[in-house]
Amino acid sequence: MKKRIFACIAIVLLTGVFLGFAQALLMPKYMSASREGALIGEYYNESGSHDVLFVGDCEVYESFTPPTLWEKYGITSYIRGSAQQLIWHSYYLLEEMLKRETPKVVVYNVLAMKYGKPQSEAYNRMTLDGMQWSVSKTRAIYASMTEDEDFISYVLPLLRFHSRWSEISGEDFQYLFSRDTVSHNGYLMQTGIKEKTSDRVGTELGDYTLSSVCFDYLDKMRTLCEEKGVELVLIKAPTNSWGYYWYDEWDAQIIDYAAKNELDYYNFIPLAEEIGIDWSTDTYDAGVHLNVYGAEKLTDYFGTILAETYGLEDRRGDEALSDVWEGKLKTYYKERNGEK
Amino acid sequence: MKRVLCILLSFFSLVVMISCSDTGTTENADYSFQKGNVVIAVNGEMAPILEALGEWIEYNESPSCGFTGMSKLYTYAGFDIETYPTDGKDYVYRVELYDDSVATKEGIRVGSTKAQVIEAYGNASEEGTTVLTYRAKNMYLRLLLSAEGLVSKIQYLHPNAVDN
Repeated sequence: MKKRIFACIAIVLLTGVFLGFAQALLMPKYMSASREGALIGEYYNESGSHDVLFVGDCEVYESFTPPTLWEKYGITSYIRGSAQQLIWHSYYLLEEMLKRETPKVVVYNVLAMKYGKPQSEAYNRMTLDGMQWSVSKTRAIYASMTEDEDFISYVLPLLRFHSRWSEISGEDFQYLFSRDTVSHNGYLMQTGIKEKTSDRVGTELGDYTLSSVCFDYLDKMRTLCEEKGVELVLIKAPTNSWGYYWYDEWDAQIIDYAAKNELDYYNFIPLAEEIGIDWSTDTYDAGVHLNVYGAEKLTDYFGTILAETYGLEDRRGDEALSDVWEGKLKTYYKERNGEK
Repeated sequence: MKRVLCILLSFFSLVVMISCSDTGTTENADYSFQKGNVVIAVNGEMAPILEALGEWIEYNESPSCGFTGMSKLYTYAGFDIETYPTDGKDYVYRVELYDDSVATKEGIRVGSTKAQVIEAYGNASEEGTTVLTYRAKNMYLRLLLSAEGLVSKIQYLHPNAVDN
């Protein structure tokens, strides 16, 4: 009888180990391609709290550089951005982060307000699979799933990624148990330059009303920040290309919402020249996103606002903190100078 | 022992069945634009269209965040075609007729009246003050109207371009 019980336990354990190994092997690693997929999980390696947290889509993780914010203003920050991060993703990520730390300012980029419905399973994965299990993650999954998705495939990603058998490469074995850090406190560096040559605007829409679902989540974000005593600041990055166009009609709705709820909103599109953005050198993809040179200019500009308007103190006098950020700056400049 | 193995095998089979289930179907678009002999339909593959239409007037592209591939925008006389990338190929995402040099198969062009549109297509699935939207199986046809009630743009749209 005992032998049978041991045999059963052994079989269950072996099956579990096998399935766990298969899952770890088959999950995308996001190390050499689509590095954006690794961003969300990297937050858990970060210790300590931050003065500023950014949430939002590619326009946060390509537009602001936390090392610059520290180097020039002594402000600590982290960007919890991901590709096509929708507002419910941002809300639940924020909910999760505010259980771990209490920043002074939370910055939300409003471009994703254009999406009132779940869009893409692939983008969902890039945000949700990186989150550690929590009530926030569970709620985020339910809020995000497209019609073709099942909750179970988030619990057991093997169900989703089993077909990657045929694509397995050396990278899957190399990063089986640990990953490299791809970002600088959530900033994904791009050093390439590709001039913006087209001023084409977005296509005309039939209806410019931003979804009420998005405003509901913005309300939730605002309430959450209020409860924690955190200042919520809305921004729109200075990039504005035909593929990701920010319409004046949308802007007016954000301005109105911010005014009604006594929030600050900074639309950096009309401020690009004042910030010093040069569209021939400060973008790596013809104006869709900023490269590191453009991001540093915007960060410098925004750093002044953070310090002067929100009273964020210069913490460079804190020795322990300085040591940590010196290390971060070294890594940052190594990549910026092409040494990585 | 056999029972345990059976349970484990059943569980594993269930897992495989769930994971291998079909998740989507593709239907043909009901409305499409035709330029000469070239039919341009939402979700249609762009390569043969590109070859048949010849040189464009203007070309723009926009990278998608996080994935390889570009959204592409080709401008021809009277109309634009925007594409989306999937598995290394480009497919039609949006066709927009922007002037009266081209018309839909149903004879509607920029400058047509709202009454002519309704005569050609019937009542719209959704109607706003400056927009008529016709929902088809796997796409939308949207006609934008000026303040005077004349068609200003005609758009054949992928559902993602509308259902945001």
